[in-house]
This record gives sequence, structure tokens and C-alpha cells, in this order.
Amino acid sequence: MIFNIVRKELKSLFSSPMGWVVLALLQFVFGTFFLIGVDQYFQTMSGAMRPEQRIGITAFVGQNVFGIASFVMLFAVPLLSMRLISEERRQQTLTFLFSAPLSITEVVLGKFLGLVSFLSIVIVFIAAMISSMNLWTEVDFGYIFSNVLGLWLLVASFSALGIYVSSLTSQPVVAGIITFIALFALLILDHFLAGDPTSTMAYLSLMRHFEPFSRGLLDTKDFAYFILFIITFLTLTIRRLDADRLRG
Amino acid sequence: MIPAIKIEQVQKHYGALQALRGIDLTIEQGEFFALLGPNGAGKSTLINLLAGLIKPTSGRLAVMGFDVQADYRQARHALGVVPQELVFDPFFNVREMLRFQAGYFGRGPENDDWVDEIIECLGLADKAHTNMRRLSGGMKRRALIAQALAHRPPVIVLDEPTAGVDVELRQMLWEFIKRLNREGHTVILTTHYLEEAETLCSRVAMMKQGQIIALDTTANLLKKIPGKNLRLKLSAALPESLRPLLRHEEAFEYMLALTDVTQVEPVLSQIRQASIAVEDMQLIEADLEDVFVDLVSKP
Repeated sequence: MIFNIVRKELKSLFSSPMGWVVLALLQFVFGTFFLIGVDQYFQTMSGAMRPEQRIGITAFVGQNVFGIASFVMLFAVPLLSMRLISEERRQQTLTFLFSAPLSITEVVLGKFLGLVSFLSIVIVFIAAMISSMNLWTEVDFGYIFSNVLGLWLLVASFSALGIYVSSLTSQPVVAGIITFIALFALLILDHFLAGDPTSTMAYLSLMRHFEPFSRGLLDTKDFAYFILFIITFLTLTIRRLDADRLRG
Repeated sequence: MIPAIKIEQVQKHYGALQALRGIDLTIEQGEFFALLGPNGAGKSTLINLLAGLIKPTSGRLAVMGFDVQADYRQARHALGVVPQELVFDPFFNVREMLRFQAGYFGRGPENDDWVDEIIECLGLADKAHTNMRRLSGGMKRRALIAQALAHRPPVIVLDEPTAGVDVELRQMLWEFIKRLNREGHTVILTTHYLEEAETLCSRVAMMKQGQIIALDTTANLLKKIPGKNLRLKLSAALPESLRPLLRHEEAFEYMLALTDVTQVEPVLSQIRQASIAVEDMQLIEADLEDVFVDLVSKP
């Protein structure tokens, strides 16, 4: 039955112009950065560069595209997550879900997976775009996998925080703005605290944990951080909706 | 037989406000039951508790023997609620909405025949592919009823289903609901149209300030107040000796409550003795509205 909620979320995203517009805009931005990356690679590598300074095309183009993707998702996710619960609360349609034989955990997971599935389409497109270079050169699929995994975890973390904020209000726009501010703060936390790399606060920065993935490095510490981040905010959402039910 | 609904000592508090104060109620399978009460009596709170939308402060509720808290999946499978408000998902058409709703209850494509049947029975066939936003108020109301029935629940709760609905649609809805009741569905109705409850329901509970103040068959409730109402339009004020029978007055129009039809003659004789002319007269059967007003107006 979770699958049914996922299906409904996806269908509602594609039933509105929002879903298509976001997909098209994201693809346009990533496509542009991909082309610029390929173009710059040939310009840079054809210059007088020592062999040891040269990097592969996958890393060169990949850091261009995945770098911008992590930033652009900061705007895209709040736009998509803001209406997940707050819109249903405003329209009073949450009652249909809550009176169905589904636990609140299933409802929250269904909505979360629906949004993450939609965003996964974007990530798959990015991966396909960069992998397409394999047609004329050798591509580092390990690097692509690491970046795709990192971006997916980052986007899933954004979505988990977005769904939690959406559960706090019945105004989707308010939810969108708060999500954006919270994500932006979490993303650049380490910039504020750049002087103290051992700071616990700096350790909470999402970008700090995405950065190893973007270098092609899979670290279980970073992986665990994202998973804990997701679980924390999904649990908070469940608790919030359960409290609503208790209070009526 | 397991009761369709069993409510035991249910209380619901919102801070200092006691919305429900120890409700006990059993509704048997196959009943057509009315839940009446003024605004704020606690009817919607009780329905929300049955649907699992809110949790009781204390007490126990069961639907078809399944506790709404402990066995919530089975309890919700057994219940279909038509909400009072015209709420709908704006992204879907009627058929999609019904299929998604049935899907929440674990019903897949095998349920499509039933979905088609309720679409047909509720006169929604030509609107099946119309977006919910584009439906008129009456059509939205039909779609909401269809939504509550999408998973074939044995117990149906209708919270003010005919509010703001025209006479033709109201009659069509009642025919359909009566048919469901004949087929064995338990129907629980809240309405402000008391004549509907009187015509349709075999048993009635009246609520006031979070308590059930009357629970009986419709026939027994009707017996609880004087059997007839005598409406008189007089040329002058009602004689003081008849004032104890007065239920309602407006200008020189009076509604008197009589225990028996034999009281008519003594009443008219007292009016004649007071030299007051009777300009118009009507003998009316007491109805559920009289019972309701009588009970609700008691302190």
C-alpha cells in the first residue's frame, strides 16, 4: 500500500505543470553544464599541461555537473516538498489517508519515496548523460557511481527535511521558504565555521559529507550520516502527525 | 452477532474542553442509525474517533469487533466515512480518485467492477473522467460518497451527506443508501434534516454537550412527547388556562402540545368561552424535530 501512495505522489507531480517544469529546467541546467564541461575539457587539456596534472574526462565533467546539481537541488527540493503534507492539510485531504488502513509511518514513507523517486529520475538522467561519453572514450563508472550515490543521499536528506517542515504548517509557501533556509544553512555550515575543522557544528554540514562522494570516495561515516539524517527527519514527521492525531 | 459499532465509555478532552463525556453506544449490523444533535454536540468528534483520525482520551471503540486503536487496519477496512466538508484531491478525475482510494485499502484492478458500479449508481458515469475541480457541488458530494464506498465497507458513516444538496439529488442519494442498507450495510447518519432521520432510520441517538441524552427506536422516541400538535390562528390572545399546553407562539398563531386527540374538543370549548374566534386550525403529528427540540432545550 506504500507503493500506492508513491504512485499517487508521482501522478500528482506529473498531473501539475510543476513536475514537468522542474524536470525540464533541471535537465536544461545540467545539460548546459555538461556541454560546457566537455568543451572546457578539450580546451584545458589541449593546452600546455603536464601529464601528471591532467585529470580524466569523467572527473572533469562530473565535478562540473554534480557540483551544480547539489546546489540546484537546494532550490528544487523545497519547491517539490513544500506541498507534500501542508497542501493536503490545507485541502483537508489528509483525512482520506489517515482513515485508510495505513500507519502514519507508511503514509510518511510513501510520500517520501514518491518525492525521492521523482528526483531519482533527474539523477538517472545526469548519470546517463555523463555515461554517454563512454561512446567515444573510457568512462570511470566508479566515479559516476560514487557521485550518483552521494547526490541521491543528499537529495533524499533534503526531501526528509522538506517533508518534516511541510508537516509543520498548512501553508505550502511557508514550508518551502523554511525548508530552503534550513537546507541552505545546513549546506554551508562548514563555511561559517571554516576556522575550526573539529567543530561539531561544522560536522553537521551536508556539503562536508557530500564532498568525499564527489571525489569518488565512499566513506561509511558519510553514508551513515545521511541515513541518520533521513531517519531523524522522517521520525520527526511521524511524531508530528501522530501528535496531531492525539490532540485531534 | 458482533455489533457493527461498539463504543464504551469514550471520553475526548481538548484541554479543558470535554468534547465527549463517557459515550456508550452499540449499533447492530444492518441498522440504519441516526446520530443527531446541535452543532458542537460531539457528533463529528465521535465519527473522527471511529475513523481513527483522532485518539480518544479514554475508552474503547470497535468497528465490526475490531478495536480502532489496536486493530486499526481491520477496523478501517470495515468503515467508510463520507466527510461533511467537500474535500477532494484537485489533481485527479473521479475514476482515478476512486481507484487510488481503493488502493489504500489494498484493492487493485479486481475492484474496478465495483468502482464502475458505484460510479453508475451514483449517476457519475458521464463525469468519471472529469477532474474533481470541475465538478459541481452536488457532483462532488456524490464523488465523496463513492469514495467512502470504494473499498466496499460493511459500515458506512455519512456525516451530513445532504447538506447543501438539491431535492432531486437528495432523493437519489437516499435511494442508493437505502439499497446499500437493504444489501446488509450498516448505515450511520448524522443530519440536520430531522425528517430524513425519521423516515430512514430505525434507531436514533441524540447528543448534547458530549453526551447521549436519548437513545431509542424512532417510534419510541416519538412516543416520548405529546402525540399531537394543534396549530391555531386566533382572533385574540390565547386564554391563560391554555398556556400550559403552549409549545410555540407567533403573533396570534399558537402551537399547542396535546397528549391525545380527545383534548381538541376541551381546548376549542375554552376558546369559545373566551369569545375568541378560530381563524385557522391544523392538527399535526409530533415528529422527531419536536422530540429533538424538547430534549435539547432541557437544561
